[in-house]
Amino acid sequence: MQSPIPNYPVYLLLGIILWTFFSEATLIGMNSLLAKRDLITKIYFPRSIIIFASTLSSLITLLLNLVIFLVFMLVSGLPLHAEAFFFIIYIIELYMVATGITFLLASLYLHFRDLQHIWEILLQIGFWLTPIIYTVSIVPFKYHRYIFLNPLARIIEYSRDIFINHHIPDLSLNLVLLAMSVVIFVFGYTIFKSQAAKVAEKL
Amino acid sequence: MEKILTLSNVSKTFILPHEKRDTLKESFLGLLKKRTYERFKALENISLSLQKGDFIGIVGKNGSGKSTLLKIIAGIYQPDTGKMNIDGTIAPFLELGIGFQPELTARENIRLNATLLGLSKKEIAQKFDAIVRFAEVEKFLDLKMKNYSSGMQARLAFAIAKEADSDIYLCDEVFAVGDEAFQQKCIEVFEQWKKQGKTLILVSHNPGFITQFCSKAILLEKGKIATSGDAETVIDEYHRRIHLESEQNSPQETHPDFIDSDIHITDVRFFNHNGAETDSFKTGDSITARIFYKIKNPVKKPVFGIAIHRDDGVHISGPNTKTSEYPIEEVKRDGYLDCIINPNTLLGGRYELTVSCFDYSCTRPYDYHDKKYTFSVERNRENQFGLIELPVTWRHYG
Repeated sequence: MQSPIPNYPVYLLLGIILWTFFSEATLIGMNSLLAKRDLITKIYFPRSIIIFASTLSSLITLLLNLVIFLVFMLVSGLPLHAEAFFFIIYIIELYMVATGITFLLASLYLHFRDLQHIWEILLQIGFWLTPIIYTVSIVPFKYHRYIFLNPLARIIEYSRDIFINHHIPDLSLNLVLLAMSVVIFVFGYTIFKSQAAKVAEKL
Repeated sequence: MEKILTLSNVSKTFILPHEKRDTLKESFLGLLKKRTYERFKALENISLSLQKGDFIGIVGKNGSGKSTLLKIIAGIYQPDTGKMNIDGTIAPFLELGIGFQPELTARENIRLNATLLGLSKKEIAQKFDAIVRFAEVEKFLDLKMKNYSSGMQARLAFAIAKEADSDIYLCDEVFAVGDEAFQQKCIEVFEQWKKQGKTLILVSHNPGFITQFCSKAILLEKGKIATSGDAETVIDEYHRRIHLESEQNSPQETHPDFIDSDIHITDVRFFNHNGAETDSFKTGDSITARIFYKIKNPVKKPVFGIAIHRDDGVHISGPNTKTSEYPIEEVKRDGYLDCIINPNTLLGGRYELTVSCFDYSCTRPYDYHDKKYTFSVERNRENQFGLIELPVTWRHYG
């Protein structure tokens, strides 16, 4: 049977890899302050380093996964075009979104220790609200704007456009995504900064 | 002299809610309930001024705010009110060996810990050999940390901390681990820092170290500076307070184990060479410890004994009437026994006296008062080294 989505395995794998990074980075990252309590209460250093270290280590996992993805893509017979370089921008934006949200979650986690379980559930819901295993086209058009409020949906869709259709999305779309990423990152970081001085005593 | 660290009116209050509420669920369900708090003033109006080259000791009981103060100086906690001025670099760690990973080798741990202390890659490479030499771990560099003894770990940790070049060092109970040789090394480093004009803030439960190294000290009590100034005066005051407190807290009651004993020790009093009752003596004078006892039934051949400990726990001596060859045939009535130490060879410091009464085989105790009595010896020797003044005679040939 012919799959209605061309190159569905590649399509699916890319979505899952990018989503996995996001969920892993935020889940581990929100807990990272607590996990490094011994360091934080014994020595001073900028607290944001802990969050960056945690999300960067998830980023490394993502990069390894992407190597597997590239091999898989070539084996599936999809050629790699020059547009693929544009994907680096999406990786950076994805990292900014994930880190910004991690900053926010880690700040909240200091006060609400059940947030981890709640976030796990929210991630489950997020997984289905993001076009990972389905395409946006099966969703009625009037809901598209809601779907694309989710920066993850944009990043995943645009990345697929690059790898599968060898097409770079329009500049306006890219600017919207960039703005979203920057806003999320700056917002999360600002909230975290306001808490940073008190991290040691809240642990 | 230039000021290197000034704290003015620094206060820190921790808010302790009566009801634990650290989950979203609890916060949500508790929205309508008013939260009640308790304010714990960890530090109150602490003002402190250190000059370059000062070695200052901080003493105080557990919970008096010593660690909070160090954490504020290190930047781990932010003071609620008050100002802190630091004019130099500060080693921002309180403990040694932060971040040591048991599964990594010593070589890797040196890099890890040194990075945490703020050394650059280049500095670590330059100082690596010095660290290894100081810690004496040349042969064990590729051994995993979990196979290191605690003494070796402490040496290594201290060796790294020593290389974190700062103007101000903070030490919270560095001597808690490590053997004699390690402590000797610490002492060498402290002397070296002193020569280099570094500043050291030392928190220790061991007053001996503070009087040995620090010229100044502060005594914290319930978050306030109780006294500050010359180290020896402050330490003496610290001892006086502890002593007062232990007297208040320990009513002269018989230990439950000894209620049915035939002999009870009721009190011990100290007298000097003039026969005056005091608990302060001088090296070279005599000390008489008068042990009062009551009996229920006559006891044949009891053995009375004492033990003297310095306040840091060093056991100095433990004579009893049997080893001193002063046998007591029988006690029939209540009475007392004098233990005369003449001359007193103990050097300056605080001492704790344990008094006991055993049967002749020294296996079954009639009564036992563990470190219940204290006395002090004034520092009346210019240079006192060690624990006691041995009666030595010198002879020179040549």
